[in-house]
Order: sequence, then structure tokens, then C-alpha cells
Amino acid sequence: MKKYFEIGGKKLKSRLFIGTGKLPSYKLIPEIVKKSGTEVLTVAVRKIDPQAKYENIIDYIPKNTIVMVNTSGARNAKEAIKIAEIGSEIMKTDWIKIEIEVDSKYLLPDNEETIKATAYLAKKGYKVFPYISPDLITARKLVDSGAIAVMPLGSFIGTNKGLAAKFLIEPIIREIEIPIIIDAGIGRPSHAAKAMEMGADAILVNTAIAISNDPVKMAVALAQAVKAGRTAYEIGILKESEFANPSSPISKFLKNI
Amino acid sequence: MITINDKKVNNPKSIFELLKKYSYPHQGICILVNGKILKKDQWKKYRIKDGDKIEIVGFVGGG
Repeated sequence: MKKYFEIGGKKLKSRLFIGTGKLPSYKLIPEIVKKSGTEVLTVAVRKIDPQAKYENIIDYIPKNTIVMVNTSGARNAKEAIKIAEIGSEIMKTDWIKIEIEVDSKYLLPDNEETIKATAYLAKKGYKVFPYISPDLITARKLVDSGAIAVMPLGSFIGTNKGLAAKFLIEPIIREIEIPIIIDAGIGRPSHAAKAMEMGADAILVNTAIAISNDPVKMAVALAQAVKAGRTAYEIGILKESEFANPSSPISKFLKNI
Repeated sequence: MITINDKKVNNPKSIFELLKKYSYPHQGICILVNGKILKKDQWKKYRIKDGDKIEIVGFVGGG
């Protein structure tokens, strides 16, 4: 297995990125990071109210963890750019996940606005990770726009339906040379392993961890699945065959009995 | 009157007075005045004007 996953100028050991939304408590974050080995966490930007038991999530994020700012809430490129700029004012981070949505039922990203925001922010020096509906043409435009990676959805956000969009993700993995991170929809370790076996470079999981009965253990289970799937991919996945192939050596000795 | 995160309040004189009065932390936040980012090195200089729309944002859990 390759020792590191190089992305955005960093050498990572873990190919599991974790989203911090919907966690029952920020207090779980240090343990999730420690036990799962994740090195990248996503956060969102919102108005804060100190009178409403405000806790600063930054206080719970271990040092050396990369903080990726998610532009969720943005409805167009302009708003996403502003959130990215706010993010780097709050904390010195230039890792930005572009998430632009205008559709509240399926939370589908607006690929066109995402390309615009990516091009602008990449020129400004940000490390841009665009979240997209899986579409090869969009992915190509994002490469030309300077994206660090492309993050196609596996299925709709928070649905735990895994790689329902598999046939649209496969061509992206095959044709695009920058890293592919499958984001959204991964609900189980088997989904995570499957994504890695397909050749994804990493995955980003939020809901499956955050709303699980035990977020720390689920993060560990997903990290194990990511490792297993990646190892198998690097070794080479065997092809399926239509007919049986015996596992034991064929011998003729019974014929003589 | 000004607004802080959509709530109407009486004008504090300075950003630091505002932060203190409403118990905002000094770290881990970004202040926007009338939709524009007010960088931290400009907090001291900025004089709050009547009608200013001030937004104070920070990081929260998010995917």
C-alpha cells in the first residue's frame, strides 16, 4: 500500500475525510480524530449567538487536523466565494469545499455555479474541493479551473444510499487525473469499501458517523473499510466470471476407488 | 439603532464594546459590516454608525 495520499500539498495517511455536522456533541471530535486517524474535518460557517450556549468547534479540533471550510448555505458562486473568504478570516485555512445548492428537496449542487466559484478561488490561491453532481464534463471543467480534487456525490446527502450514482462516478474516476473524493450518501462501511475498490482516492462522510449510535466506533469502522478497499484496489481487484472455477486443485484420484 | 445578527440593539461605540457587551469571543469569529468583511486588524479603527448591519459568524459543525 502506498504510504501517503498526496493532496493539496499535504501528505495524508488517512483517506477518510469527516464532516462535523449533526454530531450530538463537539466533545466527540478529538476521539473521532484520534481513533479513526482522519486528518481532514469539514466545518460550516453560520451566525453565532453567545447567548444560546455557543461552543466554538475550533476548540475541539485537534492541532494538525486540516480544517476544510464548507460553503453550504451558499446559493451561488458569489456567496460561496464570500464564505471561503470568511473561513480564512476566522482561521488560517485555505481548504475550501464548494457546496452550492438551490434545491432543498434533493440538495443537488449547482454544477455551473460551482465551476465559477472554483475558478475564482483557485486563482486566489485557495485549495478548492468542489462537491458536484457526478458529471464527467463538469469534472473536466473543474480540472481546467484549478480544482485540487473533484467530489462527486455517491447519492443524495444524508440518504445513506451509498453509490447509487456509481455508473456516473466510474467515468470520472477513469478519466480525471486529479483526486476523486466521493462525498455524500456513504452510509455504511461496505459503501466506503466499494468506493475505494472502484478507485476513488478518498471519501467524505458526515451523516453516517454523526447520527450513528456510536459516532466514534462508526468512524473507526469506516476508516477500516476505507483501508481495506484501498489495499484491494492497489493490489488489483479480480474480475467476475460467469462460470464456476474450482478453488481446490482438481484431482483424479477418486476415479480409482 | 444597529442590528447584530438580525437583532436590533442600541449602538455600541466600538467593535470591542460590542463584543464585550454581548459576550462574543475575540477568537474564531469573523465580523461583517453591511455585508463586507471587517478584517481583524480594522476592528479597532472602525466606528459603528447608526443603521449598520453587523453580522458575527463563526464555524459550526458541517459536512
